[in-house]
Amino acid sequence: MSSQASALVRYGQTVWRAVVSCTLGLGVTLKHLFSRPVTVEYPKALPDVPEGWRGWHAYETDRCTMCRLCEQVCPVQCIRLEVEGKGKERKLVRYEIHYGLCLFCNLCAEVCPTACLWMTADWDLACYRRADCTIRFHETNPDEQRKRLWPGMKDLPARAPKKPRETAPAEKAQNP
Amino acid sequence: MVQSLKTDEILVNMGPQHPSTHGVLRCLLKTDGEWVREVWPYIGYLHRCKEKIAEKVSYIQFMPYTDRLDYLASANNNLGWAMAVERLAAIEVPERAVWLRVLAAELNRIASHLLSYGTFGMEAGAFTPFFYGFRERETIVSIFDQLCGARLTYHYARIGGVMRDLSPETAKAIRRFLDEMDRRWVEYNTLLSDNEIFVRRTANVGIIPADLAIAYGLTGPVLRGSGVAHDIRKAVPYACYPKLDFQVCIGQGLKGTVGDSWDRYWVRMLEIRESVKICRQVLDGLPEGPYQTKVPRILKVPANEAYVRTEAPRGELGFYVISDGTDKPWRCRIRAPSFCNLSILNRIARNCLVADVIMILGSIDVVMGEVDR
Amino acid sequence: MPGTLTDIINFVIQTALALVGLDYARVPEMLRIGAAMLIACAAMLGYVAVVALFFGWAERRVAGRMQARQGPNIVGPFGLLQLIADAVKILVKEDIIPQTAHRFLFRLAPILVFMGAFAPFVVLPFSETLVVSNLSLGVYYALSFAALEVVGVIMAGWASNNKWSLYGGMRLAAQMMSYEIPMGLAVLTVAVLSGHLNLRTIVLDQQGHWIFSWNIFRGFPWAFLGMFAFYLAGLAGSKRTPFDLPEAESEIVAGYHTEYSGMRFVIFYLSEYATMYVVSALTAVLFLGGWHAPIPRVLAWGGEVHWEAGPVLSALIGMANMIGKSFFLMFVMLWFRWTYPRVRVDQIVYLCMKVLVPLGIICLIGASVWALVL
Repeated sequence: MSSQASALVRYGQTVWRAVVSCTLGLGVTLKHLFSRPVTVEYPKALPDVPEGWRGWHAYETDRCTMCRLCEQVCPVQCIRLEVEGKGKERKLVRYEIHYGLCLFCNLCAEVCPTACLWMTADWDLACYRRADCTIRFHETNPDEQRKRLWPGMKDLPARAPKKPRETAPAEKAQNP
Repeated sequence: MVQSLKTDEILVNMGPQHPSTHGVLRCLLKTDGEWVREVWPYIGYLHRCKEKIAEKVSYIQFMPYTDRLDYLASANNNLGWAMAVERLAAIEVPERAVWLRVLAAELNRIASHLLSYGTFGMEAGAFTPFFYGFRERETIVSIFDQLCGARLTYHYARIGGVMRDLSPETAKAIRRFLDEMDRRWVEYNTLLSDNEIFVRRTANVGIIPADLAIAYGLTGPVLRGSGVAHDIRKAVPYACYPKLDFQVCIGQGLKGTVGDSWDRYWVRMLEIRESVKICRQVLDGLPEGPYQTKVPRILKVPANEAYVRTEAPRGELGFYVISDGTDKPWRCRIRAPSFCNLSILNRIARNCLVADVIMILGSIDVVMGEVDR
Repeated sequence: MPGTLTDIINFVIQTALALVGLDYARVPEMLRIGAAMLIACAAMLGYVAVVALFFGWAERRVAGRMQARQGPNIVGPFGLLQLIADAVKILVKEDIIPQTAHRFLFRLAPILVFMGAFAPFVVLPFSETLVVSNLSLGVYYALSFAALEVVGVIMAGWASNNKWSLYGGMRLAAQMMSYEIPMGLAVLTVAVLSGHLNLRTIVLDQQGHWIFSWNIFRGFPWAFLGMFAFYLAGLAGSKRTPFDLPEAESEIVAGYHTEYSGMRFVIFYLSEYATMYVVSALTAVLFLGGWHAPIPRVLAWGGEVHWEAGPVLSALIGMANMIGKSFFLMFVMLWFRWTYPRVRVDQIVYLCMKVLVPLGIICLIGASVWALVL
């Protein structure tokens, strides 16, 4: 008899616990119903991208010594570099990065001895065709190429080109 | 009449495209009505030859690939690989880098457990925890934004250090987040952990006794949920963990039996709190100094072998690396916690309901990127 | 006695016919009734569609805000036109019938489901006058038609020839079978208290002393507890979280409507909201005083002074009360959905058989005693 009574008490406790815990849960969602959403409404508002973001590369042809370190260190071989001539006559004819392969690992930027290649805070990388994934940095204006990929990009505020970081400790540290 | 009715067990494919198989796991269920008699997990849908790739790229180059093993815990994977290579090449890592790596790993552990909290709630049928979990995870991801410039594949640790120093603003952001997390943690429990419906769904479901857990080589929260206080951070201390004060959380069967789904879930929730504690200590005790040491660009590692165990959010992550004197590993074997943990599924998900299989799978918390590698 | 909705429609038809010079009395009776019914049905159908559209939006909006996000807010003011945009999208979708499905039953199922959800609207009183059909067995009618839905869902589950759909169908069968009982018991509590099965009379019975003459307080605590039993059972009947097992997306993909797309899916969607509305409105009618305002004497909103405000105004006020109460109860359903996890298939039967049925029986006995004593 007592076991039945205790079973009844347990049953009552369970029901009571269920009612209480479920009511408390309702309070949490109700509180959120009247608090501000945390969403960033993307096309209208742009996400806050910090400095040092690993997005599109920026590349300065003038400072490049064509040492091919970036090409060698890339784990996926997405950087293609072609050089013509010898000695002082060396001339860069091709510098391409295939963003369909790129891991955005920043190894290429860290290894660059003259810091002429770095990663910028540009983050909108979508494009429609696979061929568009390849950005030809040796051509006049790589930014124009990017804009061609996605017409919507024109509406976004223009981004000032980033200077290479003042302290490039990674590069220095890894250079023998 | 009833005798003449022909009943049969049917085989149902749960996955590879199913809302709650965490990516591309395929489970074959043998069901008798709603009762599941047996479950066979079929894996391999996300196989990307990670171990073979490791033999083809250099030690430095493999680091970004480790991001993509357990893609929810990149920083932990990086830590494991970096430690393995550093042990092989006998590289001394600056103290600050070690602490920063631990900071990243623990933040990542919080993020990973938050995601697990959200998806587990989702699998139980509650949508809202998922969004709350993601909201806080988003904050962590933004912190990683500042810390290393990426949101998912962090690639923060480098051989011989870390990629970037911790800026004071980021440190402040982390502290803000940790305070926020303390508040939210209570809210999470009100919403989900203590909810009687949720407790009824998870308590006494998929019980893994301690001896079975050990026999199957389970690690991480799945093992600790069974009441075994085994944490690599304590058992085989590495990095700066010996200097930090934290507890190993174990399942105690608060709502049901020790080792049930609720316990595994609760261990994750407790670990979030422990990780918050660790992060605070790391921020307080961060030593000054360089964050990177000089490592040759082409890192030639003497012929040797090393096995490094670290505690990833899902359990023991092991990198077994054999070097042959070149700049590439001769062989790399990755002991993925999810893979070992998944093996228990067939054993415990028997004679339960279809809904239980989902909860058991969710409580084991596998990441297919790591299972298939 | 003031007329019902049918009478009002008749009056409108009469006036319209008189305008074009026809004598209403010469129209055959069958035609008159038929026309009135058709118009009433069309009005109700429109109302269901509007409710479903509004709550389709509200569901997403409320869900969004509860989950710390925005919800639909682009199309129209506050995203109010989102559902219209979605409706257009979904209507132009390809209508897919799986090759191995039973084509006839696959097509029939959504119709049956919608019928079950829509039929109870006929007896729902919106105000003293606005009721399509003032059936003397209104509650009985509503409950029995709500049970029709299960046939459609099992049909959909079986005809899809998909294992997950079949699970969904069978789950709903178990669920509906169990929840008819506590629902019936809770209704009986009210029936005992008021002595009627006619929904209009039940509401008329509840007029008087503010909210204290409503059934939930009049039969305190029995009808109060009975309301919870009824509402929970109704939640299960309308397949809402925490009882959304037949369409549990994390377990059985989408349950019985896994294979449905386009228009046929919309019909399922519509009937879900229609059922939700029916349950909410029935709860409001049975327990929360129907069209009676919570504060009767203020501005003569009360039932007994309805006609002082003029027939049209009082009908409108009653309708506003009724819709307000139903919408609030529907909002609670949304609130539940975005807070709770889902129960398991055995627990849903446990909850019904071991919690709600005893509760219903206690309520019924208690109410009977009260009816005898008081």
